[in-house]
Amino acid sequence: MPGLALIGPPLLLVLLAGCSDPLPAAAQRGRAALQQHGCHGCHAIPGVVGSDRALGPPLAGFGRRTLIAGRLPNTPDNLVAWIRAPQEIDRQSAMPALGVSQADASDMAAYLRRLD
Amino acid sequence: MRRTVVRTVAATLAATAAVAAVAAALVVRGGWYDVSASTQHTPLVYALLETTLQHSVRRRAADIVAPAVDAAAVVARGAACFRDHCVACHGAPGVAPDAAALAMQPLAGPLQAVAARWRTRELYWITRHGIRMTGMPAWEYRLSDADLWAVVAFVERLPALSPAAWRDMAARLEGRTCQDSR
Repeated sequence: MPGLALIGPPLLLVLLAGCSDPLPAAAQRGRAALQQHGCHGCHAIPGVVGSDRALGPPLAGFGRRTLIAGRLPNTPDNLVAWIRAPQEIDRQSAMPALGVSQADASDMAAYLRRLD
Repeated sequence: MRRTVVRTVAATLAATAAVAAVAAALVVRGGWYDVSASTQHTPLVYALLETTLQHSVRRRAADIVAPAVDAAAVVARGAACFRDHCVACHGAPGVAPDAAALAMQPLAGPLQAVAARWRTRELYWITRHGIRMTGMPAWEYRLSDADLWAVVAFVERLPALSPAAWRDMAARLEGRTCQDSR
């Protein structure tokens, strides 16, 4: 049946979209939360589609960075604090508070810290 | 012999087209395509839409001649229009968009970087005509032509505006309206 050879690949792609993600659950939720809070409006983030703007620093290799925003040690707690209230840490920062919950910020940190 | 080749090629093309049409119909009518805003576009679909948008705007704006706008008063009026109509979805330096706009697909996104991406006439075209299925409305039905150019003039000055400078400017704009000078 030659038809199946033609329908097969696109159908398979459709079926596979969204499945077979090797990321841990927290990081998966974090990637979705990054998208849902518009982080890709300013940052290029690997794995977040549509992040081709460069207003803020690109976040590729974030897991290897020693500092957050050039001033805080890159620990999960500091990252969560920065994501939730950047201007409380750096009044000059152009990054606004985006109403990110503690749980979402923690998931975002789980995703960002895996970027190498 | 030659006729057989032509016939075979034609039949193969027709069969391929038919199978492709059936496959497309299956995906569409079967509800296979995920339209939820809680999932992101696939990179391929996003790239296709983005490229289409860029070239469409470029072509349609090609014949527009941008007027020279540098009067401070015009830019200030543009800033008032920006505050009244743009900040809700696009935010401002140091200011987040409204909650509903943050998760829009596609994201409206900040305007601080658009001046580097688009020419003046293209920014005007986008503001005037909007972009279908992105949430960007056609402002020509809401703003006068002079106000459209004023907004564009302000948006082109956005990259130089720090969060503190925007806070100061917003305070100075208090009470000032985005005039509809029609």
